[in-house]
Amino acid sequence: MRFLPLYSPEADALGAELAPALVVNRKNLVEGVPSVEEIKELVENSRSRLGVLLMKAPGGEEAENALTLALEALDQGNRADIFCLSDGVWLTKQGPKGPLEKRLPQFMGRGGKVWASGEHLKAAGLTKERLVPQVEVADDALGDLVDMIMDQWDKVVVL
Amino acid sequence: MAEEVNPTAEEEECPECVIDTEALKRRRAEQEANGSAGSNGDAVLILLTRGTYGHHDDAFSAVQVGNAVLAVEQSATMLLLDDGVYFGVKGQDPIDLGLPNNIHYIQDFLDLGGRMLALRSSLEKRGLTQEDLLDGVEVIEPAQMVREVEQHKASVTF
Amino acid sequence: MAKTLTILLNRGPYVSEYADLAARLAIKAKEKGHNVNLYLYVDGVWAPHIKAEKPHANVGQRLREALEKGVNVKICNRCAEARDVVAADVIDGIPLVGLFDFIDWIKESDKVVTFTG
Repeated sequence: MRFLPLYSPEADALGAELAPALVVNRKNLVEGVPSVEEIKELVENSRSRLGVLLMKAPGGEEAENALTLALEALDQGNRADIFCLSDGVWLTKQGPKGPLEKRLPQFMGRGGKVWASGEHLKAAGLTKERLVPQVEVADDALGDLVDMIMDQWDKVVVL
Repeated sequence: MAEEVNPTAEEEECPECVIDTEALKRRRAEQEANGSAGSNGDAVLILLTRGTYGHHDDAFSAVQVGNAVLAVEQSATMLLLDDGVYFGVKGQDPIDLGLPNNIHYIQDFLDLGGRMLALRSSLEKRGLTQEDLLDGVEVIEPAQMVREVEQHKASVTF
Repeated sequence: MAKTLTILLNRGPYVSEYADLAARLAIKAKEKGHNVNLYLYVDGVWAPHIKAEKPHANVGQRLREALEKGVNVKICNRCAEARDVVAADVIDGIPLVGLFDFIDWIKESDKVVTFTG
């Protein structure tokens, strides 16, 4: 996070016209004197956002590694989402799953978001009431996923 | 930036053709001698989740991607997790299976500047430790896995 | 400026959903205005082998739709040759190329995802 000198080439490149200007991660720009709230929001939105695309059901190691990665990202001050597609939707079902059972709500409790593809939930016979609370259903799964990948996530990892 | 070494010019006539690692190693040795070795910044992370000879093609194809990335002077890191950790074990010899030995490709990858990492939890589930792994394979914790993702431009998964 | 997505597909038709999903994601991303590349690698080279009409949805259909919409699709020639998949076997419009074409795509892309496993 830096304050740019007025008339500097960097300030010009970002279109800053008013001094002082605040830039975070070379992307987000606030001109004039930002309030503490604005600074906090700026920092919040500039945290790197990791997307984990999970396509395998629990039982193998993929779901576990997806949660490990996502939880670690939160530990390091980043944002993280898990998008469950194809067989990955089975992760979102309530009920005993060994170590995963606690980690999914733990992840969401700490601000991580979990989506499950609507069409794959339907294919699996998983109705909303059978899912872990706070899991969001993506009704246009592939459309929502494209938006996540291209516009929301800074990094994407596939398992 | 140096020109790409592009063995694919001959690939149409070369059914078994893979990256010409000998040429790349010679070029890298020259670069190290004259101080111009190093990546141009774009780093690719290659996750490998299958690595046994029973499921060979994914691992073989993954390391080909790794060597191709290195060939164009970007950095490449292979992250072995799940059954991918089996890819990095010592003492491999699949001669009787009629399959090529992973060790050749791993050595090339490391010699060309690639990094190979193995996730500790995957090793432990399989009763493996650092001692079972080839020299040059580094065991890592989940925290480093996140750092690697953050530091690489893109990841591919096998 | 439009962003670029590159999709790597490692699996062929029917054995798993991944070939279908890769093609469908490519189409969706293209419809949303992104540049989209799809590289067929390992068993993914079998996907465009599905040329004939079938009484069910199939990846061949989806690949043709992807191509019509402007998705760039290429096949790894090493993987194809190992499997005796030649140009005449596959849907029109998908060139057989080396691995460096995929590396170039990674360089040009904003995001890369893989369908595998």
